[in-house]
Amino acid sequence: MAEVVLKNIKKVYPYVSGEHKKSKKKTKEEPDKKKVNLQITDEGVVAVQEFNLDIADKEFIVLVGPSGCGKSTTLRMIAGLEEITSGELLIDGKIVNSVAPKDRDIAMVFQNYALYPHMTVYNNMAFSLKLKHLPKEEIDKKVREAAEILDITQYLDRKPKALSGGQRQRVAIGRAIVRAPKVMLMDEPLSNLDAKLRNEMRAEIIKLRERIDTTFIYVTHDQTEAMTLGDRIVIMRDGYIQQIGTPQDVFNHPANLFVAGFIGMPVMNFFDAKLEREGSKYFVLLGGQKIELSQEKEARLLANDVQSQEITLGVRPEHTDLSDSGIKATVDVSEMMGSSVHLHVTAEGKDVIMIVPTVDMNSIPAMGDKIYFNFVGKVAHIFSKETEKNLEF
Amino acid sequence: MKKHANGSGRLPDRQLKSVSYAKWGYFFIIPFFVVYICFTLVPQFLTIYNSFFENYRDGLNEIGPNYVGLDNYETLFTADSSGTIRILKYTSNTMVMWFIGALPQFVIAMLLAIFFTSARLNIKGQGFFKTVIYMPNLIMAAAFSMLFFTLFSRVGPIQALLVEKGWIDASFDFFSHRITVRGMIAMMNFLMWFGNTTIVLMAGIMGIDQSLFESATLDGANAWQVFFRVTLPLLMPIFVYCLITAMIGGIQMFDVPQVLTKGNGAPNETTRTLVMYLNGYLANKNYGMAGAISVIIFIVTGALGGVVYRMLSAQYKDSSRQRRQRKGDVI
Repeated sequence: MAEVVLKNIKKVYPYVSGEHKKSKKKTKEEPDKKKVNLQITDEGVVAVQEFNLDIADKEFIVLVGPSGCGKSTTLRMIAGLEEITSGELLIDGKIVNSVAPKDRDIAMVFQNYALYPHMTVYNNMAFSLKLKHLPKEEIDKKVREAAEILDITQYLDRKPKALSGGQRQRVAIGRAIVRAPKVMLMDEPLSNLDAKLRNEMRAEIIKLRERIDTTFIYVTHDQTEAMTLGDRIVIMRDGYIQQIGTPQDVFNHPANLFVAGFIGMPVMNFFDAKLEREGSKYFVLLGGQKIELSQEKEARLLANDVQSQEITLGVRPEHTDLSDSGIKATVDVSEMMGSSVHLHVTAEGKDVIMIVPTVDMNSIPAMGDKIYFNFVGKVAHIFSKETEKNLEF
Repeated sequence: MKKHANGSGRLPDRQLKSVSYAKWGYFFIIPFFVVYICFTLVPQFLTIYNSFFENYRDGLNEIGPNYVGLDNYETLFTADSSGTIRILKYTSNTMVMWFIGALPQFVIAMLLAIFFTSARLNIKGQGFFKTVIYMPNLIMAAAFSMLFFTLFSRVGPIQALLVEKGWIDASFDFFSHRITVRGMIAMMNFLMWFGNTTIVLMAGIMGIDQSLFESATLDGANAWQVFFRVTLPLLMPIFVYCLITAMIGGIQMFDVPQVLTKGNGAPNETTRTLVMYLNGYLANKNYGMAGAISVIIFIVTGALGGVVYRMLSAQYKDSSRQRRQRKGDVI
């Protein structure tokens, strides 16, 4: 149980000698060529930068983002497995940049479980306690308690090789919780499990969190895990934090186009549209429709003094409605999902997904049908075409 | 798609069964078995067969082959006029020289393997160092022995240097002391083989999942604890393999002491090895005694192989028993 603070953390992987020479040679040959990828600098490859985050005691924070965005690197820096290039990492108010991993009182669950294959489940779980030279009785009590919580008591005598993926993951979690660490780090712990098991284990982690009551920092690329587990979500891209907020926050108020597209399943629909300002009123012009924005949105746009401009309009699939008039579209594919149908339509030259409830199956359009759809102004997300930022922020 | 009689577009079952690629596998391994049978298996049986016969040359006379049963083996284990059972003495020589070379070989190889594979140290120029430490293994043992012979001879540079420093007397002869000759042989074996062992151990360490080391570090283990509780147990199969192959190589030690001591095992036969003993009988075309020594070497080697087999089969039995346990109780 501890507060974790990351202040302006930066991680740069310096070039190995060969790479550096190559890049220097290339620069001489092609002096005019600009570096497109911002993460590649003269000092090396920048994995994480300007990372500022205050994690409260007992908070469950989820770092989420696509592969290579720096989320695992951040976690490994907190663990002490990677050096911090610059910035400060504080655990419980103490700067721990140069504190050895073993002295940080943190536990970590790895994606590939990282169980010692030559030890039994019992010994895997007892390993850290034995290193602390705790009495045998105490070790036994703690291991059996953790095994009880995770329902793995019957496997204590087995070696990891003789366990299924789900069982191994439980052991990995068990090994972490026996230590009662200040901070529990989890690096994509469910990625190696199949979809059904992942759902089950997700629920287990939620229950576990209630029982062990510590600070969790969880890394995943799966936005469903992020939304269901986190008190707050940190969305990352190219080493930068894109947005920090509660699941509801990032879903309802994405800070930019990337967050809007990353959070939510199916992904948000984007249209090229125009924002018109008429005094203190704002409208969106799309497909010949003039959509009035909600007062709340208008107030925020007004506060930011947003002028008429070309925008990227975002609308979530679940916020679109079939109607008799509105934006014209053609149905390409219809996917029956049980409680709803996902309609893939083409509208305004874009691929659009609509979620239509299956209350009346007769009203569900078929492939090739011409339809109209609508949405209300309060669910529209308005992004600058230039900066890709949400104009309401 | 061309339709078949069953109209499904699939080959009939009878035809499907007749397609077999296994025979090609057998075909491609034939050359190995031919070579193995001709040049290994048959000579092995002939060696065992010869060991039961009196078969040697005495001057211009060819004696035998006469069946003598276990007489050759009995001769090997009979004490000579000085009361020495030669085969035991040479076995002891062989194992002592192997041990004093193998001990630093494994210690240094293990240290280097850990050093080069350490993610934390991230040593640069690994390729260069690996090549350099492997180099001595590429030098012919006889050439290496000649080099040492020259270096340590009475007129060699080492002798000259040590005399100049006043550390040894000018009359000192490296080749007339048991400890120095054995030391030279062990040193040569060490220099020739530590690189090879390093490369194999490195491969073994690199095969261990890096996250296990990280996990152990987070669990609170220091470097020694990580080595003894994680690295070494997981490296054990590779380590045992290196140890057994090194022992087999050690038992067959021949070329280095043969060239260094000109085949006489000087001083006072304290550096004569089992294979040098065998070679002595071969030089006299005494195939019976040479066969008997070969059989003994074979038995010792086979026993060591048996140890490896038992260790591996014990591991297999353990994991298969656990797999059986696992049936029916998967989460």
